[in-house]
Amino acid sequence: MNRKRVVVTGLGVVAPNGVGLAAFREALKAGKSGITHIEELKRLNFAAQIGGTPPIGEEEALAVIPESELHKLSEAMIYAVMASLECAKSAGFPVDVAAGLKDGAVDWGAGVVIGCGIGGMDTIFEQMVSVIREAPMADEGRGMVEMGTNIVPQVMGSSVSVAVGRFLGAGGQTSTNSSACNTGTEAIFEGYKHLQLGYADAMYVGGAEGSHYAIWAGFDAMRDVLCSRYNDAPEKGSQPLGAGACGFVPSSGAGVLRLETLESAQKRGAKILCELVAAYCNSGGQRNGGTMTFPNQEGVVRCIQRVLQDSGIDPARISLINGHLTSTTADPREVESWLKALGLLPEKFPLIQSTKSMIGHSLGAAGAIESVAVIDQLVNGYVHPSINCDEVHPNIRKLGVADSIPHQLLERRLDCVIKASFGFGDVNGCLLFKRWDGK
Amino acid sequence: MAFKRREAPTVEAVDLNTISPKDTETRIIQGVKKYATNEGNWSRADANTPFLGSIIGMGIESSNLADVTMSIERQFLTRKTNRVPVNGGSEFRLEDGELGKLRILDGQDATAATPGLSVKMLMDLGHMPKDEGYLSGVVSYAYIVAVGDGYRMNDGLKKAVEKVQRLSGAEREEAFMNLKTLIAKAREYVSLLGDIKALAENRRKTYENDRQTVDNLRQELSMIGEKLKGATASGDSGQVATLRSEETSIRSRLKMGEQRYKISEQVVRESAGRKAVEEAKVREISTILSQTITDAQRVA
Repeated sequence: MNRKRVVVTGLGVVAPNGVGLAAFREALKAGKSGITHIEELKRLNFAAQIGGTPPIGEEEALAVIPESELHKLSEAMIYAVMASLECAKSAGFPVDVAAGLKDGAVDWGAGVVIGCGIGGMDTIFEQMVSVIREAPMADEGRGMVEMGTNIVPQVMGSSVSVAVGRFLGAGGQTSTNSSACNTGTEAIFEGYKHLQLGYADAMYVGGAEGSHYAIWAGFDAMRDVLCSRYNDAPEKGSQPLGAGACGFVPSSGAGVLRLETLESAQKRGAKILCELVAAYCNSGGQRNGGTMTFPNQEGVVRCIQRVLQDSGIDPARISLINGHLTSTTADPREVESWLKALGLLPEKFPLIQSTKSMIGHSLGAAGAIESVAVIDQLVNGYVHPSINCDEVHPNIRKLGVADSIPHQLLERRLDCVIKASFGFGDVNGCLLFKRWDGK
Repeated sequence: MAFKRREAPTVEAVDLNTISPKDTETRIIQGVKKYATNEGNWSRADANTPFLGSIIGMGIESSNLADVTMSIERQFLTRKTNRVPVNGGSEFRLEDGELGKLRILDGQDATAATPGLSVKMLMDLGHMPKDEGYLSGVVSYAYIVAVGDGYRMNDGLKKAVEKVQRLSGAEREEAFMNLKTLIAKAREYVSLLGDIKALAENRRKTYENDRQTVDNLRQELSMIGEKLKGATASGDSGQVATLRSEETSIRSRLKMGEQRYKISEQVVRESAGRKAVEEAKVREISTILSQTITDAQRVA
């Protein structure tokens, strides 16, 4: 089968250190952390009391989403919609929200796959639990009435994608994937396959995650998974690749890409940002060291190698690795996997960075927000610093790649950038983006 | 800090016996703001603006109608709080008692399609005193539907014209034939709106169908009842179980049928006459639709 080439023609982002691509870029270049102390977590006696949440409230959301729609959206849906509206606009498809959504045309050629890792917890806790608690005192048959009629669309698995589909009038397949921390990357892979096979002209893909404490509570219950040693210095908490990495910092937000077939983009004269030359997802099968919460290294290596093989790109051409790198004890092992997969000597190892050092780990949104960072670096020729790792983890130092970590902003023309995500359930995803040179 | 929503302002519930119909209407409109997707229409809404639909309505989606009723319940207090069981089951009717929370029972809001009709519902159910002066300015449910159909037809016709102008070749031919059909239907509709008797007759057909459905279901229910008696007497427990299940299904269909019948009966009754406010609405849509027909004919 002759597979279609896939390019990126639009981006949108809602991140803890910047809302909107321009602000996000500025924050990335400045090495600005979006991690803050969260009083609610302290009140609830979480061990880890820091996190990343986009600096927006209802007022900012209302600037782009009408009130009649906003109350129907969970936090993750709001972020997904905001990022998607920016993405569509940047791709040349501005949505006139004020004119109403119902009379706009359906874009039959565009679909949506926005992933979500957990999602909807704010709706469950803020709008459902109190009603359920009071239900035994309610009139017969009216125990649930007080929830109102907009609950199901906020808690169903596909909530983030259908919200985006509603705003963009997407007429292609509209669905949500979920594969824990690999979700955002997997969504991009899903859209990529869809376009390669000709099922759509364009796909809005990415990931979104809310910041309700209930999303993060289970991680806090696990020993050493979240960072609890920097409650008084939140911006220092996320230390991927660093010697002091002591657990990830949970965060939230959304990243959305408009993937489009090269054919469609060229036909409409769209500005092409880069090409997605290969993508792949697999699992380590939870064997050979792989568990529900830890990856089988062979699965990780195979996933990366499959992407390199499918792309036909020599590993020596990789300019930058945007790793999963969460600020846990798994970071050195991930670096080791990259070394194995790329098959390069340490001195030839490309630059390696972690966007999570600034934004924390936004779970289902992580792969998508980080892909936005990757593409922006490709387009604008820079490498953002990996912060909080001035002292590189000794095991990474032993691997001989410590010099590949950018501690400062680098102005550099990038050729190919590879991005990976790994998630609970021993699942892996990898993407390879190539600078668009007009061919 | 996580995404923070503004606290919704607390609205204190008001005794329906102490508030004017106009103020009740205003409160109802304010209460549905968050469900209204057509903010322009909502901000201009009056007693006769439908909740549903975007063309002339507030754009509230049908799935939100339960929220509209709940919003009304939260805002008002009533003396009809005493529950009197009916039919020996869990159903009840409300009679005068202590001042308390307003409850709209299942089906009571079936024709409360506008703020004015919601106020009328509250009056009809005895939650507030009847005010004929106010009601004279409220378009009946029958005419809300009739006028709404006219606007929908007008919108459809305009879209069909656009389609003919946009397309070419075989697709244009198909769109052209469709436009001709729509023009004919729109002409018939203008004529129907102009003739009170014809409109009432037209609505009567639906009413007769609904009545027939209910009669049939009542008959079926009666026959099942007879069969049940026989099966019970003969001790055939398997047959009794089957018949009871059938009986439940018929009762459920009958309940829905009776509700439809009640609405069509109301529509027939209301279509038989025309208040000044209804006449004005009919004249307005007739003029608009006639103009669209003229424009469409130029294309056709």
